[in-house]
Amino acid sequence: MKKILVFFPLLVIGLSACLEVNDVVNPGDKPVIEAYLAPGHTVSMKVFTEIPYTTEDSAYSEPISGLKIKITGSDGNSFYLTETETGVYESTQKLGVAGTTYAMSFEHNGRTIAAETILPGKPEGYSMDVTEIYRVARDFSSFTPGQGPPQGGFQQEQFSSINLTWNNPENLYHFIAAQLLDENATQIVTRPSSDSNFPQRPPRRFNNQPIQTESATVNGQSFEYFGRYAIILYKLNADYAALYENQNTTSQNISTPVSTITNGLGIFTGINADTLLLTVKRQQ
Amino acid sequence: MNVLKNFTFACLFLNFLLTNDSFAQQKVIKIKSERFTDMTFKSILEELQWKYGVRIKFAEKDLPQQKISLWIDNQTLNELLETSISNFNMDLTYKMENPNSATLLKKSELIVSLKEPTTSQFQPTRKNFLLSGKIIEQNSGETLPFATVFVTDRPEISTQSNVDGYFSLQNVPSDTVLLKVSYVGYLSKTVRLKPSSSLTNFTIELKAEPNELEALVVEAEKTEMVQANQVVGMVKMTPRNIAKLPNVGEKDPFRAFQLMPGVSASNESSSGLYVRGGTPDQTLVLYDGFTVYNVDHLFGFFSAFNYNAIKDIQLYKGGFDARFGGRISAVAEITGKEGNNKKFNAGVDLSLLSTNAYVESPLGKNVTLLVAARRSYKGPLYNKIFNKFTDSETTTNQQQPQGPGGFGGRGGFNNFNTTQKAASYFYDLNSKITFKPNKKDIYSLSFFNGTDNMDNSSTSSFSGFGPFQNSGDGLGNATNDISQWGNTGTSFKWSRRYNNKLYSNTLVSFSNYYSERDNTRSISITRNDSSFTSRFGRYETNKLQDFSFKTDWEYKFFPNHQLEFGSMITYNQIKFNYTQNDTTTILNRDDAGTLAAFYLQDRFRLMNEKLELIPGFRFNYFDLTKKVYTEPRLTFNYQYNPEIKIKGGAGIYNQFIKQINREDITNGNRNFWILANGSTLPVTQSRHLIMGAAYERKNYLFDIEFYQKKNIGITEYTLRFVPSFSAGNPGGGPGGPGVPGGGGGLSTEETFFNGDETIRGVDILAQKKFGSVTGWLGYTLAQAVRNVSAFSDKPYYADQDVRHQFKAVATYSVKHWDLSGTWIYSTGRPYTSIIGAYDITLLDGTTKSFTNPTDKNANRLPAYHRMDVSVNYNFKNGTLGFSVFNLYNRTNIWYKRFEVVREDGVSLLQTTDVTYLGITPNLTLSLKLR
Repeated sequence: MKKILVFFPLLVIGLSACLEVNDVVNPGDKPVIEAYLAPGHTVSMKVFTEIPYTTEDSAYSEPISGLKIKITGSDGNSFYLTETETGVYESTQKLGVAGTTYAMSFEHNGRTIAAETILPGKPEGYSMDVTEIYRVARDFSSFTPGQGPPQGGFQQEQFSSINLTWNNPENLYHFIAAQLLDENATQIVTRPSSDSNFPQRPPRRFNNQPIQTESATVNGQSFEYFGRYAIILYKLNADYAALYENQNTTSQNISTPVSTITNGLGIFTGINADTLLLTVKRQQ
Repeated sequence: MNVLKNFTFACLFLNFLLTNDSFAQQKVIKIKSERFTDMTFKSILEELQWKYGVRIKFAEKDLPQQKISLWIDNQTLNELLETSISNFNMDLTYKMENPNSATLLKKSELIVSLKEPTTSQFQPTRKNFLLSGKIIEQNSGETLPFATVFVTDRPEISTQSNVDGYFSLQNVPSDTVLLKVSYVGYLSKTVRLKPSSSLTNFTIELKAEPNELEALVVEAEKTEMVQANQVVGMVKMTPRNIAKLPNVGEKDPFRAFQLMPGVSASNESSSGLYVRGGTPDQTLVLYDGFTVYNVDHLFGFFSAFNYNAIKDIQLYKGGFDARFGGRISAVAEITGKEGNNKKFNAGVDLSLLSTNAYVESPLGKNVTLLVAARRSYKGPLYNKIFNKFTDSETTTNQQQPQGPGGFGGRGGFNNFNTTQKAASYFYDLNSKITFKPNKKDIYSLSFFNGTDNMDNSSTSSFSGFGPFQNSGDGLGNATNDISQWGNTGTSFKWSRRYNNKLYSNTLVSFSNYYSERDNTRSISITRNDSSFTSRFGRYETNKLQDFSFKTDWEYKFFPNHQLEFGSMITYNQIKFNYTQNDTTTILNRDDAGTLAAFYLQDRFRLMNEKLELIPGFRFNYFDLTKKVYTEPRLTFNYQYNPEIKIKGGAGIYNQFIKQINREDITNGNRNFWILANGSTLPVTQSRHLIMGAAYERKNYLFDIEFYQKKNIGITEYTLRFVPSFSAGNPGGGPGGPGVPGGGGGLSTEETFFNGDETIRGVDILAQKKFGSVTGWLGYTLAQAVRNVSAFSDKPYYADQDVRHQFKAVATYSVKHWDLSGTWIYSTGRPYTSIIGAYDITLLDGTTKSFTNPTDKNANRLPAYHRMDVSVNYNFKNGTLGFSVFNLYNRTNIWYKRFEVVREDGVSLLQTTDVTYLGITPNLTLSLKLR
């Protein structure tokens, strides 16, 4: 009995004994990097701070200026980037061919921030089954919600889809983006003037996700403007695809953002692309 | 059955002899119309005795002094006493000597007078023998498992009935001793052995606490709600009494366990048992012998167990004996009801959330059947809970640029049809059929099926709009937001009592758990006759199957020794599939493993039977690691004196199957099971050490237990992906089975991190067991620290780590009313916050936001506290109950959400507290035939 009585307080002391446990929150000091490296192009890299998590209102991201960033290629070329505007660093020299590995490093807050990436090969066998599609212009400018369709009804429109194919025997990540090439292009759909019941003006580009297949279909209804579009097929490294992985932003299962950057955050990755042209024409 | 009849008859006959020889002949006097105004009860009684010749014995000091007014109209003495005692709420009870003669007593005195005579009228004929028999419920004939039997003046000579209600009590000193039988939720009973008693088939009938308090119920015979001091670390409960506790919709046995110290009560989103710093998957849940792999209904707000179908639940909070294995934290052993073997009975519970109905009946002479089923309906209460657990989904989805968001504008057609599906429900069904062909064998088939279908989907389409109607073209956009999960379990059990020394229990069982999470959007384009569908988002399925064979034996081979041994074999097959956007399979596991186990333990007593020791061994062989795991176990009880007990236990426990619990319904499958493989997913091992003491008086219990658990091989899960660096690296690094041929793919094995954990704590319980006010105070001081090196440099507090937890439970019973209240206070749980956030511009020009977390679990949520109250009105065939959950509407934080919002072109961080349920009232009506 006595022994047990001694044992109990010992256990209680054991509970309160000091133990170094995570209980301090350190402020973030890792720079965020954003750089896409393509063969034959110059390097453009943005460096900025995180939006700090504070109780203050005026907490936002700021560019980091005055860095000395070195790029070293596996082909033996190395060069420094110059700051062209605050927090934006560019090279004058163009990058080498696909397959070259590039390392980046700079000093910040007493730490070396470093990353490495390989330039992927150009997408192979990229083709598109059409080069032009037709869309019907729609004018909703006089349309008021709840009052039925605009005068004159609709002209019937054929749905069009654009089938893209390429070779991908190794199941590498590919990604399709469309970019409007014409400035001052006309919108296919003229939106109502009172916009409160409608979504924001659509973006000029559309997005989807990196895929590992050999084909994709783009819906003709996705295009917002008449004019010429560049349909770009990117070939990517896995770290770019990782950006699309589900982000848990709740305290239940918060995930560390994926980054291949040592002592830093963001993306520093090689890309390669092939482009085909598509024209969106007005159906008469 | 004959024995039972004979026994009952003998009792009645004896009763007849002892009470009154002229009972039958006497004329019952009726008191005619009498009116008494402003008189003391004493003078009323005196006047009645004088006028009518009835006899009422009383002590003057016991009678109340206040003056009352009474109107009697054609009543017998019995009726008069019953109504006046009840109407004026006197602290009295009475015994009828014969219809015209009564003795008035204070309630407390009746206990004394009701006691069996202190000596037997017979001389002992047999000494130091083994007594065996069974314990049954008086009204339904239902056997009572795990009831305690002991010799009243030698409490150390005690035993427990087994799962089928049979008991064997060794070393009974003589056949004239008094035995006391107690079972939680039932009135305790004292029975005297007689030379004529059968020593091999001694049947003891216990009576459930009546719903409507009878005049003759005395305080000390009230029943306990829970029993906490039988075995080290064990809490026992019968569902009958939890009906008094406040509830939100369903009377839930698991929620009731959460009111005991050592079981966490602050997880509204999981009805699983977080026992002593463990997680729900570390608790083995056995229902009639089969393992239940998921216990949640309605996002964990309720457990899947229907209290109408359950007879008994025991929770071992640690240090459990060698009979159980495969889990490292706790065991919840649930025994289903067999059903009434005397009469047909049926009942129904109606609440604002669900309907719960059951029928039970004998089928012929040897067969009983019980069927119980529940289903929710989408009433206001259901919607309130459902929305609480799904609201966050909408918001979170918006900030994920997954899915077709970028096809924004949809060509400007905003006038499409949107339909919101409303198909959410949960239901479950329990049924059991029991066949007792003879006195030796029992066959029973138990079946359980429960399903949750939580559907928050919507569809939209352009059909029916303008010219598209006739063109055969259409554009459909369906958002699926479906969580479905369910269990099916069945067991066929054969129990045989070979003789009063040997008992066996053999069963085959099957258990199936599935979970499906569909968080996708599909866009289908129909052009003339052909259609194209693209799917975005995530789709997860987890299917688990368990086939088991188990046999347990008890053999009282030697006085003072009970040998228990048995073996089991379980085959588990688990499939987990996780796909994204129809094309990318992120995780695809199909594992199968067999676990075989054998155990041997002895229960024996030393030191004049004051010390009970249960040493045992369990040997496990797990075919995936091809290793034998030996688990020594030891528990002891030392009855220092009739009031003080010292207890302890130690053991090694291994777990071969684990649940990855995300708790995070917004982003996928809530939890999925996987099998250990010995490398990336190690077998978890825990070493328990428990020491405790209990001080038990007639009405009070003080209990304290210290515990320590050292766990190795615990697994943490995170959705952190570690991509391989070089494109074209076939196989994507060590991804192995997870990634199908992914050149430059993402490795997912890396999402599991392993480490170890130390849990220490103390549970303190102070319980008032009997009286008009019953209840308990529970306190737990505990710490759970994990050390997962790949996850964090320093050790960190486990997700379920809670420093202080305090619980107060009180029930006040008066006449037909039960009032009860519970209050829970708990230190907040740790969470991982963020240091900051940032945006990255993607290749197509859109931006995506990222948050950067702090060290693992470096922050703590504010304290959780809550009060629930209820009032129940009991009548002959049922109960009407009203409860209020979270009475003072405390805002308890469930978790925090971090979002980057853009205002005027500047990105800002926004933190949202996602909270648990606020004040919620509920009404329940329970009806039953008998």
